[in-house]
Amino acid sequence: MSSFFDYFFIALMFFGLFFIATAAVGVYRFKDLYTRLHATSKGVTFGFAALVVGVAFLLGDQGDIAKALLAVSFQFLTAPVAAHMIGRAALRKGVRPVRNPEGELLDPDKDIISPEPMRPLRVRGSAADRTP
Amino acid sequence: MELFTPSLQIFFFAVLTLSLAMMIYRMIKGPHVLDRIVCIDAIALIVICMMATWELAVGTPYFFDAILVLALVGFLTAVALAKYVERGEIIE
Repeated sequence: MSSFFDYFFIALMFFGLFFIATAAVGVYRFKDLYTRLHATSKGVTFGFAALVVGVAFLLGDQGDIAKALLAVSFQFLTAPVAAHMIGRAALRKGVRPVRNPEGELLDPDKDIISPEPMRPLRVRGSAADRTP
Repeated sequence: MELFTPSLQIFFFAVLTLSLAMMIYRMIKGPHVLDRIVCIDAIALIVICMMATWELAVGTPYFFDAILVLALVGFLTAVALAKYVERGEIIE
């Protein structure tokens, strides 16, 4: 016998699968490390959360639900940290975005490393911008 | 689980395997080391999702322990490798 909630959890699993497939297509097609990092760090994490929680509630065992919620909450805590570390390492090693600041497209396979070290962008209104 | 029919299982595993193949393509081709580190992080999570789907399909009751451990270890690999690429050492 399957109740109404089981259909809801199957739908949750489909939701997570959709997010994972979208993130994989993003990793396959995007031309740039920063956009690829954007695709995986949000899409795969959210899809993982939806799919694993759906599986655990569909099985219905309380220990499984506790383990799944623990893994998902830990992943939600640590995925932004990992993405931040990778992005900061890329910026400091001089990995270039696919468009340079003038807006022209670069070759994503050839010039991925800039010759001089890149500086962080100055955000308008930040503390570094206000000091003359 | 009778709601998770065999055709649904095949569909789930096909989509997850296709996602894994796209990640492995980027991991082989990726121009920089950090591209490969991004893919390691994502591949760990996709393998976790395959394990959860396998548990629901077959009924093996011990996969959630492995899911918990892999979710912890995947984060550590990504952070340690990113720090190694950035500084050349991990523990200062």
